[in-house]
Amino acid sequence: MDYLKLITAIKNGKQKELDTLYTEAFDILCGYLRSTMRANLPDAEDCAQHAIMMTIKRIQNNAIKEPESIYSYLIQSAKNRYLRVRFENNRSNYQDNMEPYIPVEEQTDYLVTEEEQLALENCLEKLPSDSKSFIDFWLTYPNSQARDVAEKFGISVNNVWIKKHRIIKKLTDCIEKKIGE
Amino acid sequence: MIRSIDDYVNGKLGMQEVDALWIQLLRYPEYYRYLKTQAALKKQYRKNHTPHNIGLGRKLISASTAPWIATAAALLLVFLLYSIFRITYTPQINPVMNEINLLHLISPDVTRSSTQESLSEEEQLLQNAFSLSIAGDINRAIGIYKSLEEDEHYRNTVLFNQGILYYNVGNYSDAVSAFNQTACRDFSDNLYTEQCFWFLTNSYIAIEEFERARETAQQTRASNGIYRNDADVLLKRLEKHP
Repeated sequence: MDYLKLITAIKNGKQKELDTLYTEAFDILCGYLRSTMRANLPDAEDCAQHAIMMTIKRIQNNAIKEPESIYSYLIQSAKNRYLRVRFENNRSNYQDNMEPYIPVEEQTDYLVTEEEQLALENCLEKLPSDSKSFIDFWLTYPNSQARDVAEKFGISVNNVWIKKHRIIKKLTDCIEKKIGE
Repeated sequence: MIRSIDDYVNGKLGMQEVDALWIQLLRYPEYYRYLKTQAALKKQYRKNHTPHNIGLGRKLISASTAPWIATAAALLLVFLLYSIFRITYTPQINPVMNEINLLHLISPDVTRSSTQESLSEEEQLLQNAFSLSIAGDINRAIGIYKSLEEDEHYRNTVLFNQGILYYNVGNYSDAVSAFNQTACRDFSDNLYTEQCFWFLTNSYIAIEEFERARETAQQTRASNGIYRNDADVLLKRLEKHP
């Protein structure tokens, strides 16, 4: 989300641009709350909306000194709101030392919808075999270093990242296309 | 960013780093989709495979206690795969540069300050962004460059510099976008014009836009400067590419 576009859209009342930026930020904030704290969907949506509205209000009041801080403000605001909601919902069981986050290694499991997962499955089938074996190797040995992968495939470490970037980008585009169909 | 996403999916980040990554995802939403694809891949592979929780290299080799027959079979398999690979392999075209030296960033001429002439506010910002880039604080540097994009006088400089920084963090799509918006021919110094075309060429190759890479490599060659030979070699490789 480009903050300059956001500020311009808010100050000039460009509703269409604002809607696009809103949807983008809304999805990411929901993703953040659902994956890091396992928020349920209605709570995540409520908190994401609240955070964005608060940010827009601050921009309208010229209360944001450093435009760069908008992003961390959005995250912090969504997080605080969600912790508040959780506290209200579990007031009787609340303990001060409750860990708000779920373990990091589990967090990204809550990011993907079934529809997206299915689309990926289809997209993987269309991937050329060399790309498939590259990704397969990377995922089979999640703790291996880029240099190990480079050695295995006879390419430079930098090209390992480039190759991976290209494959993931192809899959991302394919998933988006499939979901849009 | 790509490496942080990789670490996140593999559960290697601390919570502070996780929050920092999400802040970056808000800033660059295209990477949110990238993260989701990686997360989906991980789930998919967990469903189909059992990941090996060891790295490669020594650990994997020392873990192997296979008898000599298995070793011979493996060697045979490697030989067969190598033979097939030799027949079917088509060389990939990768960028010529691993990264762009940060000394190519355009910075204000600070030596003027020694003659008592102070830097303008914009020059001071450019200087700060340059120092931040060298110190590795790329996000803040890009933020400063972005804030100067609307300034007609500095637009070209800040787009060019952003292109370099995006390239070095592996964000090749944004590098293409930044170099593409740079009016390469408007630089008064021919070296910058040539670099602008050359860096754009490499960015195009990283995202596999070979046709466009060919066009900008030709423009690099036409500049007739220090990258001419590199551009020639690359063009020959591109000719062979389907």
